[in-house]
Amino acid sequence: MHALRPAADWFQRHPRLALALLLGLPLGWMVVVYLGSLGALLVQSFWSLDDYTGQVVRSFSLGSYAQLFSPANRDIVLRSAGMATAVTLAAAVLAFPLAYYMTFRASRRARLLLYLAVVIPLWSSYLVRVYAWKLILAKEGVLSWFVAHLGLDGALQAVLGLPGIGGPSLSLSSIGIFLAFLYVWLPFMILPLQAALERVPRNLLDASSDLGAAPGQTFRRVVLPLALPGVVAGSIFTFSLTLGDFVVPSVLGNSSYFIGQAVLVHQGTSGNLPLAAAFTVVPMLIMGVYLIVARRMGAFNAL
Amino acid sequence: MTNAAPAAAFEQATRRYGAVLAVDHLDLEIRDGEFFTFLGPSGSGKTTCLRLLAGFEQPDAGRVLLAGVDVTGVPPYQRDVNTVFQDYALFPHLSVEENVGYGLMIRRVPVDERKRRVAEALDRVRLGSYGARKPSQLSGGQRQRVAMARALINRPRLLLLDEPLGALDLKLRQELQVELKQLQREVGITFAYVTHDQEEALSMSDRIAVFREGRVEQVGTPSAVYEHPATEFVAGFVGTSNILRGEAAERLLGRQGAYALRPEKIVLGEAGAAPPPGQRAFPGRVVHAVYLGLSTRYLVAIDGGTTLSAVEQNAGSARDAEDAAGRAVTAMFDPAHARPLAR
Amino acid sequence: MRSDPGTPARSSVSLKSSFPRKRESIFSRAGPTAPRGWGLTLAAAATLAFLHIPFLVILLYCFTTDDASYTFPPPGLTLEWFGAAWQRQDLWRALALSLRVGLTATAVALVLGTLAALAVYRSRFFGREAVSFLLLIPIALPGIVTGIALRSSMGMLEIPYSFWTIVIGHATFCVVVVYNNALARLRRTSGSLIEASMDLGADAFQTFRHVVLPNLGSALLAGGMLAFALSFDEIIVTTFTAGTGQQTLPIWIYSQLTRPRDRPVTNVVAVFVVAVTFLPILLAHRLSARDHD
Repeated sequence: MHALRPAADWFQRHPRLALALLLGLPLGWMVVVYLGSLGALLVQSFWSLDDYTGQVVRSFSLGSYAQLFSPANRDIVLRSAGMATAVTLAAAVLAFPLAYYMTFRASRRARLLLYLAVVIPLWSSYLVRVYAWKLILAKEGVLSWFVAHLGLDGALQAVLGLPGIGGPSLSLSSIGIFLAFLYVWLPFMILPLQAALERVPRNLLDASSDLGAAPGQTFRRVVLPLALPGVVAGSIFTFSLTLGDFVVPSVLGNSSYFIGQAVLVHQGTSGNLPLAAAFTVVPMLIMGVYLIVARRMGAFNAL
Repeated sequence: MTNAAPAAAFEQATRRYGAVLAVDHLDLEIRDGEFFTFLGPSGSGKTTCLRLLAGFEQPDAGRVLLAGVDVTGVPPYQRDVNTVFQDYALFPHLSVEENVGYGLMIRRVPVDERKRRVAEALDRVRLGSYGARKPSQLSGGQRQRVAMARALINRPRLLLLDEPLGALDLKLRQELQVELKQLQREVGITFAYVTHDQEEALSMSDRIAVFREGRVEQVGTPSAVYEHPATEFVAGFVGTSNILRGEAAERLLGRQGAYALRPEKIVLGEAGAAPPPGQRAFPGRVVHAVYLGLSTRYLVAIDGGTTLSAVEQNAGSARDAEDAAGRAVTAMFDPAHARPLAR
Repeated sequence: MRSDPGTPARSSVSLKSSFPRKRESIFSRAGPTAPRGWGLTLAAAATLAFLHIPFLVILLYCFTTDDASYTFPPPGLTLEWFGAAWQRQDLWRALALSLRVGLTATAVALVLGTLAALAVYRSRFFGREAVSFLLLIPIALPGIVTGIALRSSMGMLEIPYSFWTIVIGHATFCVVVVYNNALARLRRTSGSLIEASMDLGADAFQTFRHVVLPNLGSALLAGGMLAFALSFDEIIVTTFTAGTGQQTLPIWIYSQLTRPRDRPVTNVVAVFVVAVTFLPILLAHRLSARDHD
């Protein structure tokens, strides 16, 4: 027989032990490396940085969390949440026509091609897709060229002058950040929405029309409510991904920070890992609540 | 048959799935060299028995023996048993040759000998030129034969067949039934065959065990099981029977107890006809008749309340089934054909 | 109600005509709800354009002669940046690191993912779903969470940030990709194949080698390629787990974004990264298409 036969016999006689061994390595890795790290993160958030010594004080304190409530940090959180909301809403609006078209208007073949067309950007590098907007939004770049040629220069300057969403140029403004976020996460909204629309039974539409509803009414009263779980499902992605991201604001933003950048900065140069950890907990909590609400709205069935 | 230890035996073997007793304190012996069939409806425990023999399952209580040796706890790859699976379980990524030679390859049989034996095995199932093909390129019947070859090439002491012909159409099934029986005679290996098709069981087996809810209702040769069913279940599952109990038994047979009377043992004569000596006759009326080509099945209401099922071959011109309905007849049978039932 | 899901719109039109008071439904696939006209199509097309034009812009800028800004339209077209990219040593180092990390993380993920899939497939045990969920979390939570969490624990244990810390981070979220593919394939494999192999004399290891692994083959390939693409493109977790001065290709690109020098070279690299991550994903998709139907 072959060399491993005795081991195989042993496994045969002790199936539970064999299972434990099979599972041991991957589970051990995940528990030790990942869950352990999450635990470490939590622990870090309850430590604090001593301002005088610049060292991390390894004893329980809510100091880091308290710092989150400073006006500057509050701004950061609100700014991030606001951006996440804006991106989510815009994504829903943009996704709907395409998803609707794919479900109700496209032929079978067209639907397949459209599906690929939506998914392919996801297969491309995330960083590169963000970078593309730096090109497009550059002062002398594509968008400015179009704006100038359409005579909208004045309008653009006015918008850039708006506090909070404007900035020195498109590529260093909240609008720019908004556009980039919208662009990268849009497929994540389109796919669940399209899946939810697919699941709308066609006979409900016929029934609604049979009972006297105009197409617009049927859309508002039948399609939209049934598509909502899909929107919520998609919103989980767009909201969560925007909330924690630091790449887009770094590439296209200015000095007003988002949560991701705050985390990066605090753990880097200032060495204030506890504060960075506390900051990280914020999106986790927000998403926790979000997920509970989303679950109630049936979004998990649409995933 | 030799006087060797039984090829396989169950001693109070029990197997549970949760609350369900799939095999219930089974005592059974399979003799060396015989074609033994496990017959029963779905869920009766026959496949579980096979799996206990193969080693894919272990008994919760009792013992399973192969050639007189207790094999409880012995893994399948150490048992001198091979299985032909219901879905054939041919390895899709291997060619027919590689499939058939798998067992030999595992046992490190040298390549030349392996090649020779594979060619032999394929010839025996008449698939000699199919060696290079993949299972996906074969028809159902061909796959079944490859599965047979793959199992038999290892010369096991006991071959287990789990409804191997279930997926095939009728004509092919009948053809292969004959082939399998011949093969078993040629090779001389003990076959343990599982089926729910009683015709299959009757045509192929040396002995049949009729299963019901994890227990054996009767074990015997095909004719014994058919002609002398032990219980009402066997009488009804293997072929069909008229069951006569209590009042009906009194009236028609003049005896107490339960009896099974096969429909083909009843002859329908003209109204008022006299029975041949030794037989009984009862006037009645045909309730309805079903034309089955080879035969016609009649439902006859006997005066006095009982309904009997009778079958007659359409030896002469086909009697029109519709015409028969309502006709007055005399039902005649030999009371000796009414077999007493234990349950 | 007379209609079933399969009823084409045609019948609703014919029935409608006998009830002139009710609104007429539209003769189209969508039946009674489609807003008429080109508005929908235009909106859909606009969204589609929004999704795809940006990449074309990068492609265009690979060839511009302007190396200091992103002027549109490009003043001229040239191929010199491809050559320039080829010369850059720091680029080659970044590429090499990305490749090494990618291959190592994929190897780790393949082993862990396959083991987990085998365990979950073969046994019914309490907590099966928990295993799937656990493997999913690293990829479900935002990157900064994973990044900071790893940095916290590595900091606490005073592990120096190096090649291996990057690999650990990547492998952790790559496992689930391999696991899902392997499990989907295993579920499509008939259980009787394993029994047949054992019946013919093969023990667990031999069965794995001769029956399970060949069947898993293309699923593992697909999962591995997906894992590699994920790792190759990853920036967020890598930022937190890399040592100072260590640059994977995405980190290289990121660092270039604030420097005005040789912008088109960055564009060339960007296109290259897209190609390297796109192709494996495309191939993986085709390999595992039937497992996910």
